[in-house]
Amino acid sequence: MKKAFCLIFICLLLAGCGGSRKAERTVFAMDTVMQLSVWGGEAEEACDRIEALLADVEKTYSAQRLNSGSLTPEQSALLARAEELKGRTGGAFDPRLYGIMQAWGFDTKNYRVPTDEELENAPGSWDLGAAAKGWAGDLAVDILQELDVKCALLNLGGNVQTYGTKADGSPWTVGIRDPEGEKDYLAVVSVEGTMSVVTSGDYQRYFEENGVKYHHIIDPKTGRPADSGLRSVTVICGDGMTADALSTALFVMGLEKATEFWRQSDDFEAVFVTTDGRLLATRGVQITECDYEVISR
Amino acid sequence: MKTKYWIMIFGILAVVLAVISLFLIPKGEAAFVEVWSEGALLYTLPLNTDTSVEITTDRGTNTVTVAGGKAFVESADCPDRTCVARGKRASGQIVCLPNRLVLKFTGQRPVDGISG
Repeated sequence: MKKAFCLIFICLLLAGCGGSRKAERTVFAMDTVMQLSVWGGEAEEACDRIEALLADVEKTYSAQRLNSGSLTPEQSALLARAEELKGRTGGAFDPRLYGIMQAWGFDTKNYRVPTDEELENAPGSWDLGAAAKGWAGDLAVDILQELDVKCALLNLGGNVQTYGTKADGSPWTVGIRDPEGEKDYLAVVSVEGTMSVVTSGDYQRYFEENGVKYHHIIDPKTGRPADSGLRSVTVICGDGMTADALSTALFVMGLEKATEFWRQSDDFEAVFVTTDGRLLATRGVQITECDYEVISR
Repeated sequence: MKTKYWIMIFGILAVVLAVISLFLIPKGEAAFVEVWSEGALLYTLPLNTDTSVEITTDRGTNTVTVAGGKAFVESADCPDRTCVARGKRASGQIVCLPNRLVLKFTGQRPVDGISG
């Protein structure tokens, strides 16, 4: 009898070590809720370190800190990258919109419609809100690599960061949220390996005043919510910060300019949901569960 | 009775029937049932495949069965068995509060994550 128990005990032990252990964590950071799912390697420690990373990014790269006057080399480096992205997008992504965001009350949620004068005089303070979550995803990937994780899916407040290959070898499936909120998603994109899928939409942060809806994706040229005929833009890219910044920039650009921009680039794909109900995807996107128009090169 | 009273009675009856029929309109098809235990999603079961799963936690045990396109709690060891009494469903929710079990019906195929 004892021998049988020992044998069973040893078998159970071996089975536990053979399988890919899963660690899950829910984190509240960067003014949103984040879900970490990590398989294999030191999965639990990866979750611990990513949780700590997110809290650190929230503090270190807040608008208050970035505009405090003294910057660390890391902070300066990130701002330099942000300026590069501004250049690349012709200013459609602008990391200096904090003064304007404050004028609208998006920082405190005490929403108001500012006057033209207030917008003109708004200081060009740093605000990395449109790129910080994407960049946090990149840093999280470094941690996953270091800790020998097999695969992971991180949902950082709506920014999806995939890592590695699923146990069954199938691609990651990422739904694109329905701006109307009627269905869970409008379409499903498949991605392989380590990819960042980021959506900017007019339904994510907004307020209404006198029957008019004001969303948080500001057109840097006007200082007002971009009115570009789009409800959401989803960017799929190997680099998280780029995906995050481009999803904002393409929303501001509108479909035509964004299509041109994509044709001149080679490092991302995109999906567009327009205000008149069209769904379009650039040729390289693997997309299912919907009818859509293809944007070709 | 005068004709106009009959007209009124039939009028009210017609309105009542119309309102009742509104509730009978199917809300759109659910294709899956999500089985949540203690706040975590354990299973997403397609409603077109008959199956049965047993969920056991420190609090107790429930058996969830899918048959004939519907899902139901076949058995439970909770004190009042409200979850069992909910019967067979393909929409809404079935909850077993004591055992922290929630069955949610959803129309779309599950994905790994949702962006946005």
